[in-house]
Amino acid sequence: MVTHAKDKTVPPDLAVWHGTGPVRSRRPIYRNQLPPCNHACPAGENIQAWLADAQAGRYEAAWRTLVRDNPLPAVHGRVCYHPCESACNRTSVDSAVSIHAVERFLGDLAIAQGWQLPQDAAPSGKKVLVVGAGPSGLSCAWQLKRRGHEVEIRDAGPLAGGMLHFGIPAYRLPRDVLQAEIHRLEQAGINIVLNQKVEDVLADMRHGGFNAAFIAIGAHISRRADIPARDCARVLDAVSFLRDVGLAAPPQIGRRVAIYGGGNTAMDAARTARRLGAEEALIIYRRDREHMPAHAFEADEALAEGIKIHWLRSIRDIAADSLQVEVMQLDAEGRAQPTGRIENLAADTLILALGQDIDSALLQHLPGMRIKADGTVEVDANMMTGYPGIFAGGDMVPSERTVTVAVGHGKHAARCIDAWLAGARYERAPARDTVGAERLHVWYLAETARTREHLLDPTHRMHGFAEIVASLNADEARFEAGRCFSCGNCFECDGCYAACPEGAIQKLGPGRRYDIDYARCTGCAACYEQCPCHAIEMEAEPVAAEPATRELP
Amino acid sequence: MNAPLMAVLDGNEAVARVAYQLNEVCAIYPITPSSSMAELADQWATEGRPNLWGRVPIVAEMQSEGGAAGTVHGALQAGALTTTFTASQGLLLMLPNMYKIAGELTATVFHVAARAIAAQGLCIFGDHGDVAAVRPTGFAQLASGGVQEAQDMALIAQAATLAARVPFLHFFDGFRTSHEINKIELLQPSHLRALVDDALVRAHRARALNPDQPSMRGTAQNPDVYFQGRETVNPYYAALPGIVSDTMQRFAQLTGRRYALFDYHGHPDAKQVIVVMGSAADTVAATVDWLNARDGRCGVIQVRLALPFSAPHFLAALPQSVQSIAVLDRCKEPGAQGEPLYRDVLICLSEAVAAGTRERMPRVLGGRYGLGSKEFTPAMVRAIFAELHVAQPRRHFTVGIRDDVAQTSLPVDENFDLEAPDVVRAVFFGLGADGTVGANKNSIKIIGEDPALHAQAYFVYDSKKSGSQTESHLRFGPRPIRAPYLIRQAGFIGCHQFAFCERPDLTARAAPGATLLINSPHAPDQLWDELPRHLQADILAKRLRVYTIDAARVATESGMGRRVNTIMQTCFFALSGVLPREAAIARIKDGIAHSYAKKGEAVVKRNYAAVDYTLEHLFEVPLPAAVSTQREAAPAVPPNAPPFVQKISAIMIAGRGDELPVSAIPADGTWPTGTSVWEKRNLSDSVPVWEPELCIQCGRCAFVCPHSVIRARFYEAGRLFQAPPEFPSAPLSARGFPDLRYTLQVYADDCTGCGLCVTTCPARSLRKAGVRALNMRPKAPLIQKARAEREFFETLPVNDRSRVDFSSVRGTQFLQPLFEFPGACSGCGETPYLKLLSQLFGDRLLVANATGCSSIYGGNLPTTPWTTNHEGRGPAWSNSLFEDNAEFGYGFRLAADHQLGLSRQLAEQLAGELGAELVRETLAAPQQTESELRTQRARVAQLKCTARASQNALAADFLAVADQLVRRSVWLVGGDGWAYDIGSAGLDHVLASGRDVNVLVLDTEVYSNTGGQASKSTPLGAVAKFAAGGKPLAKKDLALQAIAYGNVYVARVAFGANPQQALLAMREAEAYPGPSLILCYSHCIAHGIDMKDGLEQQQLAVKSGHWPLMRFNPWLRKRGMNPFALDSLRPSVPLKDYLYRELRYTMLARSNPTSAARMLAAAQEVVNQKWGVYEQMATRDGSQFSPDAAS
Repeated sequence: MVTHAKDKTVPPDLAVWHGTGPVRSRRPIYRNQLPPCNHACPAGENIQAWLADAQAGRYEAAWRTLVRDNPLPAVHGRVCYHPCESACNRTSVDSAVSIHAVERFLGDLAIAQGWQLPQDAAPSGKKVLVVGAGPSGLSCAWQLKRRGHEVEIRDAGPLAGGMLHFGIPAYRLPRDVLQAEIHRLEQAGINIVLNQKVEDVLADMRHGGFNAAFIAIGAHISRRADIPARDCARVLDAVSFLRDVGLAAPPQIGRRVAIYGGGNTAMDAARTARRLGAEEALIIYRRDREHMPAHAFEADEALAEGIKIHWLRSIRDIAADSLQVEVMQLDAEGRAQPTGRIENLAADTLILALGQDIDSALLQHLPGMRIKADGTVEVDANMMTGYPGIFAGGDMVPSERTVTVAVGHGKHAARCIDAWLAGARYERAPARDTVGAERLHVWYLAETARTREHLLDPTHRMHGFAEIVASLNADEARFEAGRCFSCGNCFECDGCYAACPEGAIQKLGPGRRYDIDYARCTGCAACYEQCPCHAIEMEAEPVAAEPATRELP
Repeated sequence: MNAPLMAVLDGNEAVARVAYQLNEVCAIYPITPSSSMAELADQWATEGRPNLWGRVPIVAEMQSEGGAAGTVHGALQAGALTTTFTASQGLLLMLPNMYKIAGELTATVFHVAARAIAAQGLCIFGDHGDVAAVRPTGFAQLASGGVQEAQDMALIAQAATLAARVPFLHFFDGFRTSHEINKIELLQPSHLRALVDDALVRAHRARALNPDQPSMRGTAQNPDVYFQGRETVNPYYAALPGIVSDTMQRFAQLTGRRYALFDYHGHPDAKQVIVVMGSAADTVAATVDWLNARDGRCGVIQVRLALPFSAPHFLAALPQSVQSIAVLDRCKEPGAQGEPLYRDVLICLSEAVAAGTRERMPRVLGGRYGLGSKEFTPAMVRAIFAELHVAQPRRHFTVGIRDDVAQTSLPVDENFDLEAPDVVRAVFFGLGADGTVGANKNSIKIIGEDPALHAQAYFVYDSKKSGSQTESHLRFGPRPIRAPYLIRQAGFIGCHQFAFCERPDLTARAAPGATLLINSPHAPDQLWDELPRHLQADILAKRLRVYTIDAARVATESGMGRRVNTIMQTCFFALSGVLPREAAIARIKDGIAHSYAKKGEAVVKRNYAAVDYTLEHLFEVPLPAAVSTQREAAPAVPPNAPPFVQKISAIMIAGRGDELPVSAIPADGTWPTGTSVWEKRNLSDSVPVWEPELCIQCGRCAFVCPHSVIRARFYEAGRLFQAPPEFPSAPLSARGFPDLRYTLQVYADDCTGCGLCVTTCPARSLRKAGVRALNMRPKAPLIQKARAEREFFETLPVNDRSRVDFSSVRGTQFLQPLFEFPGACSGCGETPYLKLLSQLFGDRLLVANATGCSSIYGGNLPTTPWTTNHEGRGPAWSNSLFEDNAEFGYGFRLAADHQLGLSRQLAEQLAGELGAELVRETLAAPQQTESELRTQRARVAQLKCTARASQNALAADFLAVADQLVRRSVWLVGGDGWAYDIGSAGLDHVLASGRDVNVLVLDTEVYSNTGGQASKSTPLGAVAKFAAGGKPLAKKDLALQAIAYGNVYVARVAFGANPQQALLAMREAEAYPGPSLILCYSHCIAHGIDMKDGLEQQQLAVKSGHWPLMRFNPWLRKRGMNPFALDSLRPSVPLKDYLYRELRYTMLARSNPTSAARMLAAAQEVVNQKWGVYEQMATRDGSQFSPDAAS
C-alpha cells in the first residue's frame, strides 16, 4: 500500500481564518488549470482531455484531440518514455494512469478504423521545406499542414520515420504501425520525398519556392571509442547495426555479442542481437545501474530476456573472441574511476552504443548558424537557427533526445514558422498553474490498480521481432482512462452545484458547465473546497466602495 | 343551592381554575405532567382574566423550579398570595425553599401532579415518589383521588392554609388524574369567596415584610436557640387536622360534596381494610362494593390529609371490627422497613394499642403498587383482599408486576372485571398527530354536554416524540364515572390506522359482540382477507361486528384534505349507540358549526358534507364462518435480533412490557445500545425513491435526514454480482475510480416520510418537471423490493472512515451514523446534528444528554438510537437531569483526563513488560486523523493483550484504564431549555473551566419536550406556552456571553442554511482543545410550520439576520487574527418574511394585530442592532479581543 501523502481526515486547521465576513470578500471563479501530465508532456498533449473522452467511450473524439498535438499516437503509445506518467497525480494514491497504454489503444483503433486526419485548413499559399522524415519532421509537417501551409519533407533515407525506423527495434514498434501513421500523414497531403539528401538548404528552398525550412535530420552518427582493437575483432556501431536490421539487412554477428554502453540504444542493440541469433548478449557499462542513462524498464526487459549486464566495467582491449575490461568504481560525484583490476570477458562481436553525433554538414556554411562543440545546432526560443527562416529541432538541437521531445519540437517549430510566415513572432501563452496532488480534493482514497498491458513471455520473444507488449482492449483502455483524476479540469461532477448552500451555482447543461450568480454568492468557498479537481479558484473581491450607510431591511 | 354547573375537563384544568382565582402571583416552570396548569394560568393572564379579587395574577416563568420556588418564597414574604405547579424533579428542586416557607409558617399551596422520580431511569409517569421525598419539609400534604376531588381539594387546601399558616402541598396522580378528562361539578367564584376568609387573606398580607413596620426573617441561628425555634411550630401542626376537617365541612355545606381527612367506605363491620390515597381509592372502593355485594366484609380508607397524619381521625374512621389492613403506597423507599403511609398507619395503630385506646392490633401489611403509572385494577384490589385473608400473608408485597427476584408480588386474576353494563366503553387506536385523540376529546365534550350522561376519557401515549401509538379509553354512562383504570371490556374498538391490524392486541380489549371499526384502504368485501390470522380468529371467537371506512379517500373526496378526524368521529357516533344515531349526527354538526363558524360558511358546509359523505361510505364487513388465512402478523423483531432484544425489547415493542418480570430488567439501569434498528415502525405511507441516473451523489439527503434512513456506500463493481435483480447503483460521480459503484439506500421501514431529503435534493430531471434524484412514492408497492435491497446493501462493507474526506458534506454520507432511527418527530430539526456528531466522532464519543426531546428520542425505551459500528464501538450515552447536564458532562471529562493520566503512568511503570518502544510510541502518538486513531487503537489493543498475560499486579490496574489512551470526545448535548435556562449557571461554569468539553445546544427556541413553553431562547414576538401574548423580550445571546470568556470556541450554525459551515464548526469544536459551544438552529413542530419546510425556514432565519452564522475561534486571536468570523452576509430579507411563515408568530398577528405589529417592529430593530454589533466585531482586528483566559 502506498503511504498517502495526504491524509483525508486531517482535522480543520484552527489557525486558518474562514468565513464570509459581513460583505463578500472573495468570490469563486471557474478556471481550468494545467494537469501535471500535460505539463510534463514534451509534445504538449492535452492528455486529460483525451482521457476524459476515452473514459466516456468517445474514442474518436479522444483520438482527434490527441492528434491535434501529436500525429503519431500509435507510435508514442509504444515508444514514448511517458514523462506524463511520472508526473501523474495518481501516484500519490496508488500508481500513475497508464496513459501510454490508452494512447496506444487509441492510435491502434484509429488505424483499424481508418480514421483520417482533418484536411480542412484553408491554404495559406506558403510553402515550407522539412528536412528529415523523423518524428520531429513529421510532427512539424503535420502542424504546418493543419495551418494551411504546403509542406514537403525530404529525407536522405529509403524509408520515412527516421530513428523510429532505424533506431527502434520492431519488437517495440512494429513497422506496420509506423507505416500506417506515416501513410496517414501522406494522405493528409504531406509530400514525403525519400532518398533525397538535402545538401544545400538555401538552394533547395530557392528551387522549390519554399518560404521557410525546418531541419530535423537527427543524430545518426555513432560515437566511436578510443579502444585498441586487434585484428579480426568485429566491432560495430549500434546506430548502423540497428539501421541495417531495420532495413532487413542485418550484419553478421557472432555467438557472443557484447554491447558497450548503458543507454537505451545499448539495451535495444543487445535485445536485437539476441533476436538475430546471438547465444549470448552482454552489456558492459562503466557505471552502475543507478547511474545508467537507460530507463529502468528497458534494463528490466533486457534482463528478462537473458541479457547479462556487467556494471562498472570499462573496455581496455578488444581481441577476436574476448574483451579485456577494467573494473571501475564510482567517486563521490558518480563518475567512474579506474581501479587497475582487469578481467576478461568472452565475446566475438562488440557493438558500441556510446551515443550519437549529428551530421550537421549541410548547415555549416549557412551564415549566422551557431553550432556547438558537440555538433548540435543552437536555436532560439522559437526554434529558429541563426539564419532567418530556417528552423531546426529534434535530436540535432540541444535537448533531451527522445521521440516525444522531437515531436514537441516539430509542433512548436510549426507554430513559430506559422507566425514567422505571417511576419510575426509566436508568443507562448502564459503557462497555467499546474495542479499538483496537494491541490486536489479527491473524496476518497480508493486504490484502483493500474491496468497492465500483457507482455509476451520472454521465452517466446527470441523467435523474432514480434511486438512484446500487447494492446489493451477497449474495456481495459476505457477503465484505465477512468483512473484519471481530471486534475485541474472541470468534469461536471456537480459537486460545486450541490455544495453551494445559497443556490448560487447554475448548471448550464451537459458540456456547458456552470455559471455563478454573484448576487447570491456569499463567498463561503464551499464550492472551492470540495472541487475534486481544483477547477475553481477563490479570488479577492474587486474592491468596491463600501456603502456609506449599511442598508438593512 | 342551584343546579350544579357541569363541565368536562381534565384534572390539571380543574385545579388550575381554582388556583388561578385564588392567587396573585404564580411562579412557574414546565414539567410533565403538571405543565398544563401553568400554561392555562399564563393563557388566562394574557387574556386578562381576573382572580377572585378582580386583578389579573402575575404569571412569571422562571429558569427552573428552584427559581420558581425562590420566587414563590419571596412573593409570599412580600405578602402576595402565591402558588406554583410542579412535579417530580421539579418538586425536588424546590426542597430547600419548601423548608423555609414552612419554617416561616407561610400560607401557600403547591399543586403537584405527582410523578415518579428518576432513579434507574427517568419516568414521566405518575406515582407518589416526589411527594414522599418532600415529607420532611413541613408542608401539609393533601391528596386528591380524581378530577372532581382535585378541583375541590385545591380550594380546601387554599382555605385551610390561610387559617393554619402551614403551607400545603396539594397533590393528585400524574396523568391518571391530571390528564383524565371527566365530567365534574364546577366550583363557582361564589364558592371560592365563601370558603376563603378575606380576614385571613388580610392577615397573610399583614405578615408581609414591610418597611413601614420593619422586621426581619431568615436570620442565622446558633446552638442556643435553633432547636427551640424548630419546636415553636408544633401547635400549628396540631391544629391543622381540625382546620382541614372544619374546612371540609364548610365545603360540604356549600357544595354538597362531603370529604373527610380519612374517608371510610365499605362494610360497617369490615374485617379487611385497605388504606390508600390518590386515584387508586376509587378502584378500591368499586371493588369493595363488588366484594361486599358477594358476602365480603371489606372496606377502604381513602387518605386525604396525608401529613400531618392525624391519628385520632384515622382511628375514628377505621372500623373496630377490622382484622387485617393493607396499606398501599405508590412509592418506594429502598431499604426502609416500609413506605411512608404504611409506617404512619403502623405507628398510629401501635401507639393506640400501647396506649390502650384500641383493643387489638390488627395485622398490617404494606404494599407497593402503581409506580410510574403502572395500571392498578380491580383485579389487583381483589388480590390484595385475598392476601388479607391468608394465614401467613406477605407482610410486604407488590402488586401489578411479577417480582420473580424478591418474590414480593401477589398473584392476580387478570380476567377479573367489574364494570357496569350500562356504561359505554370504547377504545381507539391511533397514531400521534393523526387526529384520533383530538377527535375523541371533541366527542367527549359533545357527549358530556348531555345532562343525562357522564363521560370520562383517558389517553395512553407511548413516549416517542411522534409517530407514537395512542390509545384512547372513553367511557360514557348515566352516573359519574369513577374508574381510574383502563378499559378491559370495550363495546367499541376503533382502529384508525390499518397497520394496527397487525398488532397482536388490537381486539384484546374487545368485549364479546363488540363493534370493531377499521379505517382501511381495502374494499369492504376484500378487507377480511387482508387481516392476519390472529385477528380473524379473535373476531370470530368474540363474534365482533366489523365495520370499515376508507377515511383517507373519504376525506380527500369530501374536500377535507388529509384530516380524517371528523370522519372517524362520525363513524363512532353512528355506530357506538352512546346517543341515538340521528341525535349524535346532529350534535356533531352543532360542534362543527361552533368550531368553524369563524372560518366561514363554506368551511362549515364542507364539514357538514363530509359528515354525510362519511355515512354513505361506512360499510359493515361481511364475515365468513372461518378463518381464511394462515398469514401471521410479523413478529415484533426479526429472528436475527440479539437475545436481549428478542427476550426483552421485543416484548416491550409489542406493547406487552407489563408482562416482563423483575428479573428481566437490568438492575442498575444499564441498557444495550443499538436497539432501534430492530423496531421497524413503518410510519410512513410514502418513502423517497432513488433515481441513480439523476443523482449527483452530493450527500445532502443523507445529511439532512433526521432518522438516518438514507445511507450511501461505494464499493467494487464486482460485488453487484450477488445483488438482487435491478439493485440500483451508479458509477461514482468522481473521476478516477472506474471500478467503484455508488448506491444510495433508503431504509424504507424506518422512514417517517418527512420529505426533507426531497426538499434538499438539488438534482432535477431536465426531462420531467418536478422529478428529482429522490422522489416520494407510495411505499406499499415497493416495500418488498426495498427490503431485499436493503438487506443486500448491508452486506456491502462500510466505507473505511480513515480514507474518506469528510470535511465536506459529500464525504459525510459515507460515515456510518451511530445514531439511527430515533423516535423523533418526522422532519425533526435536531437529530441531523446528533447523527452528524455520531458520524464524526461516534466511535470515541461520550454524550451527556440533558433531559429534553433529545434525551427522550435518544434514550426512551423500548428501543434507543445510539448504536455501534461494525467493531462494536459507539457513543456511550447518559442522561442525568435537566438542570445539571453541563456539570454531568464535565464530570465525564474530569474522569477521562484523570484516568488518561493514570493509564499513562501505569503504562510507563509497566514499560519493561509491555515493551518500552510500544509504550513510548503509544504515549507520544498523535491522535488527530482517523488513521492515527486507528493506529493508536491497535497499539492499545496490543498493550492490553500483553498486560493480560502479565503477572504484575499493576497490569490489572492498567487494563482497567487502558482504553483511555485513545482520545475521547466528550459532548454535552441538550436543548435551549437546558442551556439558556435551567442549566445556564452550570453551563456557564463549565465553559469557564477551560476543559476540553464540547457543548451542542439544539436550539428550538422553546421547551419542545414539555410541549412548547417559552425559554430565554424564545425570540421576541413568538407565541409559546407561558408566552401566550408573544414573548416581550429578545432572545438571549448565549454566543456573545460565551465569547466574552475569550477562551471558548463558539459557533452558531444552521444545517439547513449552510450544512458545510455546520460541519466545519463541529469539526473545529472537537479539534479545539478547550471548551466549545455550538448553537444549532433546530426547526421544530413547536414553530408551527410544515416540517418539510424546515430547511427553508433555516435559510430564511439566516438571511433575515435572525440567526447569523458565526464562529469564534480563540486560536486565531493567539495568532493575531480576528477570532470572530461571520459566516453569513448582511441580512438580505426582512425579518417579517421569515417570521410570518411560522404559526408561532402569525398566531399573534391574527389574535392581536396591533401588538404583533409592535413586536415585529421591535424584533426587526433587535436584528438590526445585533447585526451592527456582529459586524463591528467581525471587522475589528485581533488585538481588540480580550485575551484568552487560559493562555
